[in-house]
Amino acid sequence: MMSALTNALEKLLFNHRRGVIVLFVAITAVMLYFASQLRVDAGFTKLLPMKHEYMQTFSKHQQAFGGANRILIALMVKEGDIFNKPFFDRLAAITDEVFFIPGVDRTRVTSLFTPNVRFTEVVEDGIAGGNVIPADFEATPEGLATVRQNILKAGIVGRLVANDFSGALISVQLQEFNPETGEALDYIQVAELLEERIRGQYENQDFNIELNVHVIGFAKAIGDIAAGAARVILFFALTFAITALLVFATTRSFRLTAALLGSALIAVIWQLGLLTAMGYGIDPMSVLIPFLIFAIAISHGVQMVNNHNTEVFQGADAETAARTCFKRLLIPSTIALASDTIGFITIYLIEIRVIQEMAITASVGVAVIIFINLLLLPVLLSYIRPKAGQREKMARRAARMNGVWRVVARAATAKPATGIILFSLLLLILGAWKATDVKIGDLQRGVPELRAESRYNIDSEVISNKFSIGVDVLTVIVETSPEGCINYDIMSAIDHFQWAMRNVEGVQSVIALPGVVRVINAGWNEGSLKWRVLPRNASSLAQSVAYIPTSSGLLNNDCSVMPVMIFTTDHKATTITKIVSAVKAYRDEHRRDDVQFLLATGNVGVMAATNEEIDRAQFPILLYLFSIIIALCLITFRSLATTLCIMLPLALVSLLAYALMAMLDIGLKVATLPVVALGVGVGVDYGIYIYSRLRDFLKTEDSLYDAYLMTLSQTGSGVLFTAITLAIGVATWIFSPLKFQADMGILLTFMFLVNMLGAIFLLPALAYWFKRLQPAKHST
Amino acid sequence: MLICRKAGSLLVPAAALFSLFLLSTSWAAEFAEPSPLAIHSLLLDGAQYQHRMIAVGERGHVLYSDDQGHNWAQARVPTRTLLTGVFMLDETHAWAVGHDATILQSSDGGRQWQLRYRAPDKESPLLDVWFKDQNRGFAIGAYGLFLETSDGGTTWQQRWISETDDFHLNQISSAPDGTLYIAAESGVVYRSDDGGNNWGSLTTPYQGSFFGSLPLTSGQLFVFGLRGHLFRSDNRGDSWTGLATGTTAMLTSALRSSDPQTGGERCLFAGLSGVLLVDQGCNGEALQLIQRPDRSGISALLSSDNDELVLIGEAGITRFKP
Repeated sequence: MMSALTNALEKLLFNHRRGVIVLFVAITAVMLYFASQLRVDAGFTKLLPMKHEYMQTFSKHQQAFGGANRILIALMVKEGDIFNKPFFDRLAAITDEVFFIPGVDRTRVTSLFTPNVRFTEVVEDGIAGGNVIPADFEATPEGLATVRQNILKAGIVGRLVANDFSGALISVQLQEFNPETGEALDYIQVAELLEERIRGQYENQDFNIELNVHVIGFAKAIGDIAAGAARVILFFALTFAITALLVFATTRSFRLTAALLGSALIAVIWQLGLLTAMGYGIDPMSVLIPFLIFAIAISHGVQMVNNHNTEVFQGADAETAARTCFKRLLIPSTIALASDTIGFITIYLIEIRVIQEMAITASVGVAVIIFINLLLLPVLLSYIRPKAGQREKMARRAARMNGVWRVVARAATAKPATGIILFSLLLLILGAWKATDVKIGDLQRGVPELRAESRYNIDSEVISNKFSIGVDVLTVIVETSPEGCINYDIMSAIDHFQWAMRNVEGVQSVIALPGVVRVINAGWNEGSLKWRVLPRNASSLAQSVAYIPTSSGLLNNDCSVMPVMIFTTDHKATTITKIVSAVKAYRDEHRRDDVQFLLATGNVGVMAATNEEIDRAQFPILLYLFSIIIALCLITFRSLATTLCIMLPLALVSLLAYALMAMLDIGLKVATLPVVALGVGVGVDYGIYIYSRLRDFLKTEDSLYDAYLMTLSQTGSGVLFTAITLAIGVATWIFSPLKFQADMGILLTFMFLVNMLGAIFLLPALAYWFKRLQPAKHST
Repeated sequence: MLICRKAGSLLVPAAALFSLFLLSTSWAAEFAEPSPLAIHSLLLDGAQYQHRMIAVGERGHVLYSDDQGHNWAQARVPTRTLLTGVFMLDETHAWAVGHDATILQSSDGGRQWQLRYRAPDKESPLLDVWFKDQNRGFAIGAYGLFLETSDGGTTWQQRWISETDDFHLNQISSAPDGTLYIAAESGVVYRSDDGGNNWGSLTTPYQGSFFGSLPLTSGQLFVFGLRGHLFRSDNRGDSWTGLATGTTAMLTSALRSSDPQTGGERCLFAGLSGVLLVDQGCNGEALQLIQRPDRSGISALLSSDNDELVLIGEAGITRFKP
């Protein structure tokens, strides 16, 4: 049945070779057109696990409280303090400038110069108040002295003004969708404008003092990530060149090299074209995927080219050789590529859109490879006749390699097999021991996608050092009935929660309405600390709450929602888990119907949800991935032993990859979780190619050793070459300016190389022992 | 058996009454929570007797120290209200007051506290407490609230010390000669020459609130209050001299201690915004202004060993050497 189908396909394909080429050229032209319209598509909500409980809270209250999409601009003096004319001139100019950046919520811009920054002070006859920078402000010594006083009275040191008065902050909220047009915000444009209009215009100009501008926030981070991602073009060119050299070195044929690289390139063009046609763009987070597709296309193409070479070497003409290869590789290649596709599709289980897009991008790419490598490439090969002298050269090389393969093939004999298995068991134990140390989430300070020494992370460091506001905040949303803030009982419950959270390890400070009301209540009583209480009666509460605008982010219009902002010392996963479980324990212990403590918004809230989503999805992903690949192997090879021979090395390598992550302090997160799935998907190819040839030779050869030696001499070079090509390709990522790409590079290089070793050493060793234990089942 | 039954017959109605009491007011069961950060929470007043110190503040936090304020432990306190004042009579007897007109008593030097009085419906906080001996004491507070006891704090009676005004009574202190002073709102200082039975009002040159007074020997007296105002009198408050403090921060408390440099005495005044005034010799002639860099408000001062001070305030407890 299978072979009948294969034969029919072979006839259909090779009897219409010209037609096939014309068809592929036409499709490629169309795809090229689509691919040329590819756009970069970055978004904030794409990075969030929107179905997660916390993110439900997040989206429900995003409108009122802005969520986590904030930009902070710090203007810092290099020496001295901020009380001078150039500083205030520039702070005013920047404040004006930010209003004109697209997406800025103009009601929520906060700076010394915005009217929502006020001070109150106690005087003999009550409370006096006003804007921190008065309307008639002039940057004279007297004017500046007044502002200095007002800053102290307003209690904004540490929040809007640096603790040592060396700078001031402008805080801006962004709206992802234009409320009028519904148009999505172009973050990369925002990032460029921040760089051009704010930093470019106001940093290090010819003023009397030197000023620095530091900018942080999601939009800036995504802009920097996109800029770093653009470097991918360079990696691509590098990989292309290296691959071309390697292919040419192996085949010594321009035409073969062109056929192989050309079809891989076509696969990438199709993938990018299809993405655009399907309405997707390319996200900076998944920009490496086309690159991966290129590498996979090459690796499978090499199998085809290698097989073709062997046939030609044995005397067949180009077309017959191509036909034989097609028939021989159709099934294993399809199975291998189907495994890759499944590997990528399982990532879709993580309900974070950017990862799901990655899953789609990658699986579309691999599906495309099936068509191009199995249909177009054999047809192209059928036109490539070996040059004179080519056969002799190849014979010499085969002889050289045979020495190596004879040694490697000993893995399929008693003693080495036992040794290899014992060594693998040792690795298994070590791996299992280390792998348990893998942490979910980010382990470093700053934005994890970027390197620690990047401008962005330095900016972030400066701001968190000079100001008391942490850049990491977990906001618990408190939902209650309307007018909740003038109900003593409710306010008291929130106050109690606030203090309980303040006492949790990893919490730096907590800001919530009751705390502010207590201070204002003291303000009504001459500022005496002895009156820092929540007044019991509603009218006194109302009197204090009236002083707090909704733009403070501490309450909504009808006072039925009051966020509690928990600033954390860092955003390490352990810190987040500790705080989140403290919140959960608290609300379980103090359950009441009229006050709900909902997790969570703020950047740490987002991280908490993401970490939990990854934690939830990681086991199912591996489960589905392995079960589907096992099922595919069982269907193809109809043998449990064979399936185990292929799967056990893979499982071991996946475990070792986890151990490597633990050792290198790479957390399991949005960028690294897909790597294991990708690695398994690609790693299984080696096993499938090797075993499918081994199975054939077992029918003709006397011993496993001989069969394996034959297998190696035919596919060994292909597997070795593939692993090295893929590894070199992804190893270039290690030099990426983006931390997550470097992490992915390290892990994928590891997985590609070690999976290869597993396939050529552990697989035959296992096969040897399975054959001895169950000789009957083996050669099915 | 017999004894038990007898005791039981008495206990039943008492328990019934008590549980009714519990039902009607849930606060009785509410103890202050032990918090790791209680020592950094808002603390408002402190008292010391020899090596023992007590500090009180928000959420019913009471902390005590046996080594002059180096190490502190949190006491068991049957309230979560904001405590504003504490007084130590000797090693074992201490009283604390706070919002909801709360009065607490301790008989073991501040480790365990009993609730003696509470009246949230008065909507008036108590702000300070002072005891003459183990029986006689006064608790004062907002809107002229004045409570007195003659049985060591078991029962309290309210009365008015002024027939015309209900000013906040902010702080009570006693002079070495037994004269009592109450610093009050609107520039008023009350004085009692008979141990607190009768009170007269003194005129001062200031209309703003006074938050405390520091009586010295032989009729000398400082009062201080809003916006950095500090006055000195040499005749028990009959006439006053204004002192230049160089600050507009509210002055909240004062302390008289020995001067480590001269061996004589010095007076210290503390206030909001981290303000500390040092008056060597306590004559009001050369006030030295220190502003703590963290600028957090100071609410009370205690003197510790090594010439150090224990500052009690917005940032909880901090040690400081002026």
